[in-house]
Amino acid sequence: MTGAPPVEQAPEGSYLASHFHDPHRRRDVWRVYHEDGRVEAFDGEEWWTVCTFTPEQVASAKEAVRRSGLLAASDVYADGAYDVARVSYAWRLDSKTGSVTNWAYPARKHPIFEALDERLDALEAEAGAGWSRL
Amino acid sequence: MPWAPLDAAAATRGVLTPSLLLELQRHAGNQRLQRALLQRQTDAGVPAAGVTEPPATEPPKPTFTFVKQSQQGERFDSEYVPAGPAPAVGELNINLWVHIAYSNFTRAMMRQPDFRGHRWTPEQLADFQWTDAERDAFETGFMTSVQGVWSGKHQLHLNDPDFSEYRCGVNVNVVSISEPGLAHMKITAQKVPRGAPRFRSFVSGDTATLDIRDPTEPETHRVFDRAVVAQIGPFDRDRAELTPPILGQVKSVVDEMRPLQSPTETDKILGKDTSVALRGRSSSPGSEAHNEQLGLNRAHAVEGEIASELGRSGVAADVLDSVGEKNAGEDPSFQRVDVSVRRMAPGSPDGRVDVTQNVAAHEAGHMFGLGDEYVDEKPGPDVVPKFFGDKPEHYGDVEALVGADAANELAVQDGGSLMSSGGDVKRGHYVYFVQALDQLTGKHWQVE
Repeated sequence: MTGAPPVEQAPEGSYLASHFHDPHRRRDVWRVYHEDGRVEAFDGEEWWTVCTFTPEQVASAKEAVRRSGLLAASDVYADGAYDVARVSYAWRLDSKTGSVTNWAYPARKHPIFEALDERLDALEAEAGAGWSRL
Repeated sequence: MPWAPLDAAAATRGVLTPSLLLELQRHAGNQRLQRALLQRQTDAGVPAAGVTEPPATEPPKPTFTFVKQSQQGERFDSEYVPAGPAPAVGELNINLWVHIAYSNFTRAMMRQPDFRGHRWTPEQLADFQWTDAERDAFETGFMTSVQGVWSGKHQLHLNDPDFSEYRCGVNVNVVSISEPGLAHMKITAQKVPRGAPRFRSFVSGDTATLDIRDPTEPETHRVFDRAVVAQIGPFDRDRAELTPPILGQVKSVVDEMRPLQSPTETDKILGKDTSVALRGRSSSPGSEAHNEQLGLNRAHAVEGEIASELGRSGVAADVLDSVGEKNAGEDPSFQRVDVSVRRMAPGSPDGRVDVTQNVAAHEAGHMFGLGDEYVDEKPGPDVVPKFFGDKPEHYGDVEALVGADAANELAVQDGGSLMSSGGDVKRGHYVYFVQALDQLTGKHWQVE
């Protein structure tokens, strides 16, 4: 994958994407979950493949997104904190698209993001993500 | 005997008659009399040639009579030790009390967004705990970096016509204390394995979380060194014509540009050492394509007028573009052209310069009450966006207490200011120190 997807939209062919944007450092981090099973990440400099899900794992990941409450979640606002970054999750699932943003990371955490990340990381570990074997 | 105003200046001019001495002592007191006599003795030995009456000398002005004044504040404590009058230099001590708690890295943090894209190494996974040496380095580094970056950057000056002239240096001191309830700022120092991305440090109210490297490892950013930053607008909606108010703004910007113009490099608006950059914008009503063209038309209109005013009609700006309605709302303030003059760094491929920022010192600026000055066009629904050339949130205080020129130095941009991307402590950044000194002395001071 090359270039940066829009902040508020999951790229075509994906069902979920997260985007971390730090306006002070001008740093962006993406993670994209593709329908074909690839999980790709952008670490601020280059794209790399985290792992590849099986079709069953893709189905589990989608189910995790549905069950997380993400599709009905609300944004979290900055509330007077300085130098915060923003984290967005965007989905393209069940013929619907949408996004939710935590505008106050890390001064405030989005509980749904935390729980969803934990579940997705477990699936990535199961799929043999390089970081999980260390 | 009816009281008559005394001419103390006359007394110092060598006309101290016995009756005048008595009057001076009766009405002005012995101290003033002594000062008058001392002044007379000083003047007596240096009569001006050809002048029958020496020039008038101002009566002595009041001075500070206290040894020290101090006050506690919500964000910092302050203490003024006068020395003077000028040229002696007194001291304003700004004391920031902090409590530091140390937080280890955890496996759960690896899932956090700033670390999630990172490829971890075995060495990093074994480097989650603070060591004693790292704690010491953090605490010492925080104290020395904040003190070093913030102290002594500008002198404060009291120039009140009815008071003696004073000058004052600024010392910023950080005091680390074990009782969080007494601290102005409660800091969580976040351990992050060496080589991993930095934690996104932040300040929120009276708490802050800083990355382990913030006090000791500066961050580097590439920015333009800008001599002029201005917004020209608002244009009339859906128009690019230069109305009289817009023309007035262009003339003001041209006045800033003129001293930068090379008389010989006539193929450029200013010269090869500078770059004139114009960016057109529009408010959101209308299609994206239409608004992009509208922004371009506005930028071209301003370009033509600037070139004409500077005697370079027909010469193009070095950079001209339009972002149309990007990140804009319906507010007419978006109907504008952003103007900047960049000083091109010799040898730099894009003219930018590297600036470094001590992040701990930047965050200390928030602890003192300052806002950010870097561009953030989309900070979220409850936060005022910061576009290029906007006024930062402390602008009003700086304008009122330090002056408009100092406030205008702080215009929002990605630049070398400490509250933006670099390390420069600007005059306006001392605004809350001046405010404290004003309160301590009952006088209004200036930042030099």
